[in-house]
Amino acid sequence: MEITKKRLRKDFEPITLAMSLVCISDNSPVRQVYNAALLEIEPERVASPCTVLPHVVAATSDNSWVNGRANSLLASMVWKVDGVDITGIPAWIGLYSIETTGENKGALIISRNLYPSEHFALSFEAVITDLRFGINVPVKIDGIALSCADKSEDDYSISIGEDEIIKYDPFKDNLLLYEYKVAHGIIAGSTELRAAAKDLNCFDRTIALDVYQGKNIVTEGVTMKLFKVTTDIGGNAVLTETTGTDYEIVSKSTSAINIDLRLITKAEYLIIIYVNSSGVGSAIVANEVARKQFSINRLYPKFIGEVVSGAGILPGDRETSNRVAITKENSIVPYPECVLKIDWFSDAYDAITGIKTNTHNEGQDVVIELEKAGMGDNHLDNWLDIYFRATQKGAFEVAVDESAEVFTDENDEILIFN
Amino acid sequence: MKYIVLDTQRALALGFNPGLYRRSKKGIRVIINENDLKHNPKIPGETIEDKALFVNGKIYDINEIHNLMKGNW
Repeated sequence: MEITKKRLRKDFEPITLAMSLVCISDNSPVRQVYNAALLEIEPERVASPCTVLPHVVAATSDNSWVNGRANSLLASMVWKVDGVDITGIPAWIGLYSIETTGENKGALIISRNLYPSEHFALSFEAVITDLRFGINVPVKIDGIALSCADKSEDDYSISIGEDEIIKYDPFKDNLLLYEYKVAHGIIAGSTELRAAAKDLNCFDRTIALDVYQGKNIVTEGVTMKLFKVTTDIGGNAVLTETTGTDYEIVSKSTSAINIDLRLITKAEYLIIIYVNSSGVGSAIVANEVARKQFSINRLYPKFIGEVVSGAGILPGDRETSNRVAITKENSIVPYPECVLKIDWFSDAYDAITGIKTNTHNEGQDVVIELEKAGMGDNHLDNWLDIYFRATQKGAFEVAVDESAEVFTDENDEILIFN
Repeated sequence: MKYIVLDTQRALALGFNPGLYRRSKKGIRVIINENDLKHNPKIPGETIEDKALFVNGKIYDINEIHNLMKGNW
């Protein structure tokens, strides 16, 4: 008789790892301070070493993994300084050790002192053997830096000439209204009128930037980068440096950022200031010294709208016209179609369904052909309900063709629409 | 900054983890810094000197601690 065997295996879920680099020597932190008065670095690491632990926690959804705190299982450990294996850096010989046993296995014990111009990024790589599958699971962690602050120098800070939460209300934007009137031929454009329309509420927003060192404003020796802050699927903040395709950023420098608020619904930005600390040319090392975050939110305030005219229609009339009146905070909104999408509708009698709804034009005004709309001459159908729906227009978008090429005018200015 | 040398057992009793500090060759003494003293709620005293007295520790400046570590402490 032929016997066939069938092998059964346990099915396991793969491990997920939570990893971070943590300084566990509370009073010997990653950032030393140079005390110029005493000519000492504090705390001095030969006496008070700094310990950075790669904190690794493993778990599985099927509870088949029992070693939650997984440091004791680390193997093939490599610490890197600025991307280079620490064992291969002569300047670090004898100035560190790596814990090889226990729950702090993998910890880097640092005896090297830094000086104010020095800055090192630490990273850690290792593997954890997963005996359930017979594989090595890679561990790779970065994100901690060693540095030294000069106690004799004041800290840098950034001050911006705006609230950290900028709220843009298109209803209050006189510049937006000016641009609308010029574009629609209602008024002739002029430099003086445009300048008069610019105020604190306009879309053309200049955020003044002052970089301070202590109490003094710094204008030289610093550079600025502007980042957009978004969130990835894991809820982590992602920084992306703004480029020329971030069209809402009109210009940026260490003294001001100019933003076109029409192009933003909601966005967060981060300003980072760097000081060039050492090196020349392409070898310049720029150290971050200050950062400031601000956000921009487009407001969608409440408004009230009503059809202006309720006058009756004469028997001989073939059409009727009407207009919308929009009020916000008890004031009439001039040219509401500048900020609102207004669609007109009418209801008339329908012999079969009872009500027939017609869609008319978009805009502040409406003209309705009465017969087409279903208005008749008897008591059943000699009426028309006129109404509208108004929604606030969203942020402007950059006009592009099907190949994502941006449309520009004769002055090479990009075209936007909403 | 000041540095304080105290017995490892005393340090353990005060909540310090000897593994995170510089230890003597035989492991019977550890070096802590003045911030370790200041930030430990178990150590009373207004000044570093009062706190060092409480932990039965001796205070050193940086040069003195370096000389100590070169020797057989």
